Amino acid sequence: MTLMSLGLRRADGSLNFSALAKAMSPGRWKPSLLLATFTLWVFIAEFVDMFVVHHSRFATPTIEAAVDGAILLIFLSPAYFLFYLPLKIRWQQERAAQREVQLLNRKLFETAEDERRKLALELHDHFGQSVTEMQCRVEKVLGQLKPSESTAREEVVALRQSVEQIGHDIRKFASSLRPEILDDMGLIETLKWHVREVVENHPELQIDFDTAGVKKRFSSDTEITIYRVCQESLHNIVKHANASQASVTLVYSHPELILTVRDDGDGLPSRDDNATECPISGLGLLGMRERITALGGTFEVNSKPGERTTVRAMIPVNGAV
Amino acid sequence: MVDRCLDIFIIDDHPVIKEGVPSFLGDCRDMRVIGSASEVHQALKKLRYLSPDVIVLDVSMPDMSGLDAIALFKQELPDAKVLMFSMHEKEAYVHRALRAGALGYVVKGSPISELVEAIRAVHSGEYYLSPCMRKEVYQTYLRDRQEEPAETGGYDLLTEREQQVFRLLVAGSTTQQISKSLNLSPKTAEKYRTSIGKKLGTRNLVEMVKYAMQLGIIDTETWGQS
Repeated sequence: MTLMSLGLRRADGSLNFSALAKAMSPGRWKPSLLLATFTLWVFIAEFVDMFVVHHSRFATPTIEAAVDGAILLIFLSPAYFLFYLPLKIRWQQERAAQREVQLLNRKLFETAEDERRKLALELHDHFGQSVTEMQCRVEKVLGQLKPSESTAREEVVALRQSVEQIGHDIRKFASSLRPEILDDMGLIETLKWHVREVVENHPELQIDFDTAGVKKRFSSDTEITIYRVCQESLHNIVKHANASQASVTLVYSHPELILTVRDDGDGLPSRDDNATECPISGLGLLGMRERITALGGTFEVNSKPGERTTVRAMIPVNGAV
Repeated sequence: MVDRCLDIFIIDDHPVIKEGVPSFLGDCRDMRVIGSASEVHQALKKLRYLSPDVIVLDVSMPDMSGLDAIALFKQELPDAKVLMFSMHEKEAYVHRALRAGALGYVVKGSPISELVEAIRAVHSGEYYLSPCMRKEVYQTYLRDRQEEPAETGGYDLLTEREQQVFRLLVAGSTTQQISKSLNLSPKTAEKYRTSIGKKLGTRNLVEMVKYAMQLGIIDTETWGQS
């Protein structure tokens, strides 16, 4: 019955040997079960050893010690092959799989950022320029209109305004896809700008920005990841935290870059909320963690309900540019 | 008799600007565009034979950043005034441009008449800033002036090695443990500790920890884990 429920016995009653072999292979056992079995095995070995040594008469103590050692060795060598080796292989496989997932994640984020960058550039270069051209033409028309043609003038002025607005919106949208300031000026200026933007849109929140030890540029994926985490954290604070004060700190502590975002808000209510996504960066806490781990870094969230939340991201930057 | 014509050189990689602006400026009698280029190096070559009064320069260029190019143009033509004409509406760009020697900053997308105004202002040696940027620039100015000297200033003086030692110290390691994990002699580790204290102005470990917490290097919740 139990065998059947485990899938080891087929419906017709015959044993499913391949499944049985799989289940018996220690490499698939839980480590705790494996440890228990191994301990039991050692106990049996010790018991047999004691039994043999106790019930035999040896010519000299040296021979007794040799027999003692031999019995232990006979018992322990299969244990090495049966227990330790499969376990080691499994650990190695797990580590390799983890590395692969990390690598794939990294590739995924890179591709996404690349797409955003391309899209932003296209918006700037293509649509932005067309709007500028339109503006030039509208201005020219405005210059050629006589003062007496007041209705036409009004219309053209309105047209000029809407063209200006379109240009502004395009630039803003492109910037939200991928802030060009990050490539041009680096992390500090970008974070400063972003903090300023958030404060501008949410005057009820005060945000301090502080930085120390950051003297060089970092690889592009490190920079964009730090920016995205900051963006997402501030977004969360504005959306959910109900905070009045927050701070963003960027510190280089060799060999890691550390971003800390703190707020004095409500804290995170429960673990379920980790999945909430930010429409801009598409991240959420879970996503932030994945992005940081993809770069081999650590991500921590500490929250005290009703008091504060701290988000910390640490990325190793051996490849600093 | 009007003054001598104001000579302008435009550097922008977008044909719309390179062609549109001259056609617009054509309406102004006292200005003329004497040349244009779509790359910084191309511009430098052309400028050997020309001496414009005002150089209108874009920030995003295919071969190098316009911000970095300002110094090159100032070197080539010390008398020419540089006016940035850029789509970036961020204070950091204005700051970098003005520091590098540009006199004006006009945002693309503002009325073209603004560009004319800016060219005139810059030519007479005045600073010019697009009205849409003024608020941000003034606000930054005000904030930076009112900020007290940053307490974190000392941290910038630390070398990478000292940063490492500092991080281990505040995470609770003893000098001996540090010397072991970083492969230093205990004496060297002790030296680092003293020099860190001097640079940060901290008298003891407790002050160092406080300093580190302020910077977010350690967090009380995850004490010693990092």
